[in-house]
Amino acid sequence: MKKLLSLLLVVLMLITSFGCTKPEDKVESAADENGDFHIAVSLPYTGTNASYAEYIDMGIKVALKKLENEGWLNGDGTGKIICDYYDDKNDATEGATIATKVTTSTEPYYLLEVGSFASGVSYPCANIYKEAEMVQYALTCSKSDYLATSGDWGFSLSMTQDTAAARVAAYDIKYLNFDKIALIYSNDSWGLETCKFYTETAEKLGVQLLASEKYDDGQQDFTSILTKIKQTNPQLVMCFCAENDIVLIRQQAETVGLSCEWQVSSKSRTSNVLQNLGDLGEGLYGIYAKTKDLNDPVYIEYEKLYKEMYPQKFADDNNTTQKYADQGYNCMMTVIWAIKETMKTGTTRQAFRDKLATLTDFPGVQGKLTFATGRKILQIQYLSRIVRGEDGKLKWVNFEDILDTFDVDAVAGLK
Amino acid sequence: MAKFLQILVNGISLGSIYALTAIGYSLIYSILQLINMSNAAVFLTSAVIFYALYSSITAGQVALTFILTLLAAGALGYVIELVAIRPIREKGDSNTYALISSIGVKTILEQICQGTFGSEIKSFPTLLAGKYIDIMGARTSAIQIIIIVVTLSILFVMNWYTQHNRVGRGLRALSQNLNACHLMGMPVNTLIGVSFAVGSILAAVSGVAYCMYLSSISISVGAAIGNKAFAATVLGGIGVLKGAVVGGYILAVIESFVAGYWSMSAMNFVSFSVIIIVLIIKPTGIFGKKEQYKV
Amino acid sequence: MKNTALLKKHLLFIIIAVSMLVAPLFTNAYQLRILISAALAMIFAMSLNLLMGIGGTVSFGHAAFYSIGAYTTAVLWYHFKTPYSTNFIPVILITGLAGLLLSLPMSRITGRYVTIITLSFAEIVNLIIKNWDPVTLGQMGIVGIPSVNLFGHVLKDKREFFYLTMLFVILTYIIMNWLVDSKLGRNLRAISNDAIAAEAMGIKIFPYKVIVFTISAIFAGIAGSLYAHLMSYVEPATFNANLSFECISMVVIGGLGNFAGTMVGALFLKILPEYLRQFEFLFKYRMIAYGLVLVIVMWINHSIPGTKLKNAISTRISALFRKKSAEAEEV
Repeated sequence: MKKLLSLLLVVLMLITSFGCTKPEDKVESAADENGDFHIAVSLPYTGTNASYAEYIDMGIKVALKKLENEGWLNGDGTGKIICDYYDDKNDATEGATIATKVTTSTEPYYLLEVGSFASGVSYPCANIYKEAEMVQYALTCSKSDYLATSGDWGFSLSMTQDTAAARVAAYDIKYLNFDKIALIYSNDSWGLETCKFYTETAEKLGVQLLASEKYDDGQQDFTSILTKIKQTNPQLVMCFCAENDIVLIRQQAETVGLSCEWQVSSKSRTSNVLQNLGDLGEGLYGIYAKTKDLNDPVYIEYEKLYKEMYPQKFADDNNTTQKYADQGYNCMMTVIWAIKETMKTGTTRQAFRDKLATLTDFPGVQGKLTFATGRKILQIQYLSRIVRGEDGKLKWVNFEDILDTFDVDAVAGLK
Repeated sequence: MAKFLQILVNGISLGSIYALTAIGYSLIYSILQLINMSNAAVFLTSAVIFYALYSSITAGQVALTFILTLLAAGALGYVIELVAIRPIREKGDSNTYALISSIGVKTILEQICQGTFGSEIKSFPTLLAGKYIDIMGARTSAIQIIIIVVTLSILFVMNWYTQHNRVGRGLRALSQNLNACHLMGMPVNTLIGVSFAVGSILAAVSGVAYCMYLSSISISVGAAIGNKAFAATVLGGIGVLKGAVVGGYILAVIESFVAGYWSMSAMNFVSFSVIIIVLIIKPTGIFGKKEQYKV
Repeated sequence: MKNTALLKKHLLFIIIAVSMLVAPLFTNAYQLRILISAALAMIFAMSLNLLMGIGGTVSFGHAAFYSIGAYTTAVLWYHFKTPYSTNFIPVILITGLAGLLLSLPMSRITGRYVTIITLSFAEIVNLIIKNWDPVTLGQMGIVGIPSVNLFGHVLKDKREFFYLTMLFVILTYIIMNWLVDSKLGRNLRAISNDAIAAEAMGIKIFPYKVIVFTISAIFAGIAGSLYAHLMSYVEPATFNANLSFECISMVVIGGLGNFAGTMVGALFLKILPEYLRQFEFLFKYRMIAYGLVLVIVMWINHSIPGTKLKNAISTRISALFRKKSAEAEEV
């Protein structure tokens, strides 16, 4: 009896795990009967990457709020965009299950998916979205072969590592004139790629790295590798790490007495790092993908809404918007743009994809966004540094006119 | 030479953290033969409690916060035993079920910590920040010395306690024969609850000490330590107090040297290989006694 | 009458197998996906149950075999572009060999120490996969593994893949039960009930351990190899300690030594997190509910399907856990 009861429970759970029959083959428009569009957002809301998910989520919600204030897509309160949020725990299996659900669901019918934070999730899912012919907007995926893997259906707002890491090397060696460089990177696909491209470019520019040390996820005690690096007497230690790790590394460098210049990649050029490093952060170099132009009307509007919706976060982050929130906002704004553009002729998944791929000079909060050939995103990157302002507070300052005198792409051999 | 000493110092301070946590595992294992998976989560939870208290109610008072954290951790340990272990134990089920239950507790605690604390790293109060002592070229921070001293004193106190105190003797009796203790009219349930509380308090001390050492806290602090502490326990010999301690120090020092002279990726590889090799050579761990089989 | 007894014994299995086999007629792609994960988990967990329930070994590192299976087929495809049917034999050989290797220290190491050996073994396997870049591509993962190809026939439809997996589930169940009922199984149970008595009876323990570890590893490896083709992507992070713990939970929920129970345990634990997804208030706390369910299931009744098998692992240890009432009787 107990056996049957327990089985019944399992079957019931399966049935109530909702979802309906097979999707229809042809859809005139992705909107439902009310004219609303549905988007699936799949992010690691729990787990060690939850802070990134939270910021992206904030940005998406700011964009939706903006649209709501404008009276949604039609301007009269109809044509809503409704997001369903899924937690993939940054786990490949969960991500793939969500992807299957999202691509085959008819109630609601999703126009596209946004999210899939790490490449460990975006890769297994890319296949599913490609087969279902649905856009996967993996805004943070920067692995160099992602766009190729995802067929025509993958989009990303992050520059691929072959460009980004090469530029960092060019800045370090030819602009800042360091030739004794050591490297620390996280042992994951992102870290391995950045390390590879950074080292290649450095060698091209005639600099042999003194040391390059990788560490596994979850590592907290870096004193041993820092002691090892200390022996090589570097001028600069370049860190391709997550923001939590750079805080630990920089603090422990103090413990072992390693004094030199430090640099982080764009992933860790965040206000979090600034806050947690305190005085130790002074002089830390970073990379920033296009500055926020504080006088840009797009930015002003965004910042105002952001401040209204998340006053605490805004204050915590030194009265700035967070970078990943900016990306979430940009992502959703480009989605809204593509939907509006295709609405007259019928927004199908195919039409939406084709329109999004033509995005040119879209006014985002980090400057103009363009999908070049093969949906490659083009962005400018500045060098950035933590310096003490006149009020005695530390802050990130971007070298905004660096590109006037220094053609980084030419130096890095990208042209 | 300076490099060698530096790495040794770092290894020993990390080893203190391993050792403290390992005693918690060892204590509960020796009594219930249960690998208490929730211990690593208590490590994290106590650090989060310390952080929460320090940044609100007891702002700025390290000693008071520390004592409150230890009390909370002790209570937490007792409650875990009461809610998740005791019902299973009293029903007479195998400790494999208790193990799964403790995995459930671990999941719950970790998720609560993450939900309330968030996944961002935050700076953690430390003692005597920026004070260093040079030992023949090896830079030793004040907090490292404090951790080593605190660990060693706790070990001596624990050792004395289990030998001479009533409760300590009770715990030792439990680890020899739970059933007989029960028949002797000893308050077995209370004693087991106390041992969970003590294990949790030790995890709390090491959790707070570790975060002070890192001078920051994030929700991933417990994850790496848990397995290592468990491994250290087995390496030294399960149920033997000094085994857990020696195992912890050996493991940490080996790791530091492999990372310092070879690479960090090889570090875990070597430490786990050492465990297997030691166990093949001496199947009961370094200090472990051969189990008595009753026919 | 023998037939009715047989039917009764395997009733639960038949119910599950039949309902799983007809399920794809009613389910959508999403539900089918969950069923596929559950079917893979069934093979994986049943293989662990052989080790735990019959062999009496608490393994914290069963994910190691799963990852070896997944990586064997992925690596072979990546370097030689061989189809699944060609990779199948190497999967069995290599995972079997890994199981054999892990069983070797067991000649000396017993009881509680086995747990740490399995844990260390899993960590080492994972570290090798992570860092052996030329072969496994390390943390980059292997991308684009095609669907299962059986002698030229590509299983494009997920339903076909599901039925292939179910075939392995049924095979696993039959082989496991056959093993348990054979002379080998009887001896195994004798060993895990009382090793010393068994040895006194003239049963050599060590060869049996080798056999159990090898067979268990092979089935875990098969599950892993199917997983690689299902996901079309493998990376080391998937095969962490949590996978082993999840597997142990499935076995324990279903009851040690009870293979049909393990199948229910696998179904339960695979469906539960997806089921919890629909409660919005649980959004960030879904895994807390998951943990609570684990504790409560252990608390109320340790095995859902209910067959209280004589606990193989810990007849000796369970004396310490014995009920108060039982103790009173003894006095």
